[in-house]
Amino acid sequence: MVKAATSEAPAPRAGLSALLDDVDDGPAAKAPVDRDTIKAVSEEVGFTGVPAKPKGARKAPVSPAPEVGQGADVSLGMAEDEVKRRVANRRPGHRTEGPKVQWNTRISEEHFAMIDVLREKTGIPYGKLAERAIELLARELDD
Amino acid sequence: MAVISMASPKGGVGKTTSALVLAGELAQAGSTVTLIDADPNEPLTMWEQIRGPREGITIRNRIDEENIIDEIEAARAESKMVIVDLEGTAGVLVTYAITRSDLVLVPLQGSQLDAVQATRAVRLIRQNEKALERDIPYALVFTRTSAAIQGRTFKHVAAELETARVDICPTQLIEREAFRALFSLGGTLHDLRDADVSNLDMAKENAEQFAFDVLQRLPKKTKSRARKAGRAA
Repeated sequence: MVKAATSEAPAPRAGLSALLDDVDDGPAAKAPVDRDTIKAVSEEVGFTGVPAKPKGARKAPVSPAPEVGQGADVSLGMAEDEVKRRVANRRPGHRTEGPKVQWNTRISEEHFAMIDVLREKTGIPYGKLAERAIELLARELDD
Repeated sequence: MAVISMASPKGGVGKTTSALVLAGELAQAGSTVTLIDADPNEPLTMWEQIRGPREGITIRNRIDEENIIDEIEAARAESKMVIVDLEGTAGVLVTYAITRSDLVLVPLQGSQLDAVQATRAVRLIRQNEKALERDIPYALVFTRTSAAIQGRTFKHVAAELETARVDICPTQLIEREAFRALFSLGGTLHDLRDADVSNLDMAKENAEQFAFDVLQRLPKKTKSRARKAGRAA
């Protein structure tokens, strides 16, 4: 039965110390490491995502963010003409003009055009995707 | 010597807070504790920078798939208790940590989304048990729950998990300002003053009970030796 901690009597501090003294080395200390098995189990359960790189651990040089009108990330398969079309079709008051992005002017129009493509490909709502993209871009620029 | 991992493929469920609260209580009880900061955002490293190193607590960071097992083993050699704070993703790093753990805690808030992700973590633990042919104790830990009321959603989620025979830690970590303040003021609950946060005593009581429940789930010397003696016979 799940219950709130506030309904429990507090364990005496001495109780913690006694339990600590009684902790065993644990079976994990003796278990052999088999990386192939570990990876196989991960794949079986779907734990195959690549974790983000630790801050400061980036090895590859970071390319500068493109200026407005200087082309697009070809890895998204977006032609430059398509970028220009999307940028030109922005509605007045779009997020690219809003206060949320003015803090970093290096985030270009192209990035937001890329977000459009990502939204189409992933189905993630615009606001959520844009915030995440801005966060990632800002982190990249800071690094 | 004992390794406890905080695992959930979902972010924002309270893994880091649970790890830090537990570390604080264990250090206060006289144990040496190594916190392995395996979240790429390194929140525990940032926590340490606020007040500087805390006596009894060591932080290890810059963790990746290549070094996590070595880091856990090194931490096991230097401290009595090792707590691994994992990133909220479903990656291989999580599996590596689970294989080296004596106890896995899966924090979750009382929502259906959190519960679904928690059950994914439990499934991974159970698959590891089969692959490694050993028990890996685990428990779900409800975090950021209300001290005053339990909503219908929470009750429903808790009931579903109990029906599924998922182990649940009897102590919940209540939503407390003191727990949040650890990341702005640094230190542990025992470094805070009453003037810093409200209801500090209740937060300490909650944390102590949580640590008590966790320690009770770890393998004990006596039971281990008894098992060994049984096998020898």
